[in-house]
Amino acid sequence: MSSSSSSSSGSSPSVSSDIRWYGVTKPIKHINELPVELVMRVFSYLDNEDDRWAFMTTQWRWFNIAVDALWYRPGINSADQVDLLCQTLRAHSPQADYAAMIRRVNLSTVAKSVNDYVLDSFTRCHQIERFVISEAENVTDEGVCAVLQANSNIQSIDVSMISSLTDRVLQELANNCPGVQGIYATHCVGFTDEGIAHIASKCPALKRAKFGGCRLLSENGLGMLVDGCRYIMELDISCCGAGTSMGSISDSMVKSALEKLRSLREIRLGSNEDLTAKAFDLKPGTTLESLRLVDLTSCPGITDEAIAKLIQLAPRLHNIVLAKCISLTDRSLALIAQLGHSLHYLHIGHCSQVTDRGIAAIAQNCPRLQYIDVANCNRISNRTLQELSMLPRLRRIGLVKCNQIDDVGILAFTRRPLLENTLERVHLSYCSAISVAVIKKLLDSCPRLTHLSLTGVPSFMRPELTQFCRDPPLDLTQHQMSVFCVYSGSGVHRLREYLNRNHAHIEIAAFDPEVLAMRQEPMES
Amino acid sequence: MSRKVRLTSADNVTYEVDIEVAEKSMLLKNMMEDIGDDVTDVPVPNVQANVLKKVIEYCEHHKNDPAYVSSDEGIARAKATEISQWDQKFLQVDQEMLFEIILTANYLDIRPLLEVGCRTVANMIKNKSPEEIRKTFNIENDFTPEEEAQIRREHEWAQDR
Repeated sequence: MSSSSSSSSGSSPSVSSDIRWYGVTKPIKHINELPVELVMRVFSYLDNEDDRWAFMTTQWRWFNIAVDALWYRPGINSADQVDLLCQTLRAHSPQADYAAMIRRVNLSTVAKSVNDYVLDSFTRCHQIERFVISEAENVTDEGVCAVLQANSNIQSIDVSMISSLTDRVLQELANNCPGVQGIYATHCVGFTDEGIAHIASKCPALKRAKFGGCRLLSENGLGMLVDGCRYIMELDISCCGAGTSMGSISDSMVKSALEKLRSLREIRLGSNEDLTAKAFDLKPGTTLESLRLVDLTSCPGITDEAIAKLIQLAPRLHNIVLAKCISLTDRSLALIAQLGHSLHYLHIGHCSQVTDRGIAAIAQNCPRLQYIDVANCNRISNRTLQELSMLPRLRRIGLVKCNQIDDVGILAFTRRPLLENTLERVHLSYCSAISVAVIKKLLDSCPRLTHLSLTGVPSFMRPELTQFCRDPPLDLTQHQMSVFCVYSGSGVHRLREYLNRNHAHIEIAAFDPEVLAMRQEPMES
Repeated sequence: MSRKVRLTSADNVTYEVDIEVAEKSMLLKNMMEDIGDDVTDVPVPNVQANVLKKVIEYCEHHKNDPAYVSSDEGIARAKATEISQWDQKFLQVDQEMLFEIILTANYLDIRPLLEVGCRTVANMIKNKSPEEIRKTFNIENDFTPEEEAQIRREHEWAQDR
């Protein structure tokens, strides 16, 4: 090191002397002279748990720097971990107030082990901001309410799928956590309009309201919600009221939500038998600039007319889910195609009136489409695949039970005129004419493929090929089990390697005049 | 011909550099902008000549890099081990100099150098036991065995994966 003379920079004509210099004063000899924020930065580059733990247990100084980060969002993946974490929380450590460091809790991966005793351990915390216990079926109102009482800073809570919870939880949430911004409560069938009324009157900051599948919520409660919480950005009221004496949400309720919620980005309205075009009958000239996602799954009253109104109303939609809107025709697709560059995601499964012409309109006008699902649209043919293969960003394609699809259509995806084949997920279950040879070609030409489903495809129903499948879900019937064939992650790689090793020269049967013609003549629209 | 500025260290050593090189430091860039076009002399009174020389060497080498965009944490993590050959060699210095470079990069607000410096320290920690880390940085173990045992017990949940 050079000898340090007293700091005098002589005459400095251009820099005025009142600039305040701070920072380095004397040379640093030891890592413990680095300021805390720089040590934290070093710590942030330790990306595995062993290294972080070694760092923490090197000295007290580093323990104190790292302990907050470790407890901020405890990573919990097993029932044993839950037990151990609860032990520490209940023990009142002399070392540090760990409970007070916890800000985010996610117990959804260990939902079965979560009960009121576990929740009681989290009543030691008082800084929790996000609390996720979705599918924790063993908890009761008491357990959840105690956590809410102790943590008034909760901004987001996820109690999805917990059917035992009642309005008491919503009431407690409204009273103790008025700043709540996110309530994820899909399929909380114990919630009613009474609980929602508390939220509506006390939680004006609510932005994400997910009540899909809460059948006992009617438009009375949801009307209050829309009036009280004007900043809602994401609203899920699928299935609300369905099958009860109150009935589904009416057109006028949906219309009022679209009028009043000026920040709305996502709205899910699925499984509503009564919904019609009238829901989108807003004042002429109204546009919903921020609306990006509409889900109308299983709304049989949604017609081409409804889609016309919707597209006019929301010119910047990215995602449209219309699965099982059985009255839709190619006219709807022509209207959706007007979204052009905005459209990223389109689900029209079971819209069986749709034909190649409708999909061609989408493919030719919406170059940013990344996901399309046309399952059970059995009027579409190979021609549709030819069109879709031209989409430069397409990552996922769903073709389940598209009976007319065969090798010729799939071949289009092995010859995409692009720098890199972007396909990641391909669903071909029950497309019974697909051959092993064309799948081999597909695998070879799609390096990013991570999911390939071929359930019920006869050419794949042999142990030689199913050995690379993932395990079927447990709730399948015997028959479903026997035809299950889904490759994901490493299974895709292993299938690709196997086919290249053992079936390197397999030929496509249809690799004849028709296929060759297909290759040479570009499709007409 | 590029405009030149003269940077003067705490111990009164002056280095003449292209203005683009000095502007790698957001602190100096903002300061020079505030003062105006005719600035030619900039004191860096908190940095010693040997460190300033090193930091200038880095800025010279990287003067044509695209402007630094702060990456979100996820990306920063993913690239944590990617340090360019030149930077690795540049940072093969004794610990004192490494810490000085980090501190100076922080003070002069040269984000890419700050990042690469801190990553280098992180790499010196990786795959080591606490005892090995202490040895590397000459750190004293100030935990009593009881404290160590208790902390381990309290964090068993984080060990069990």
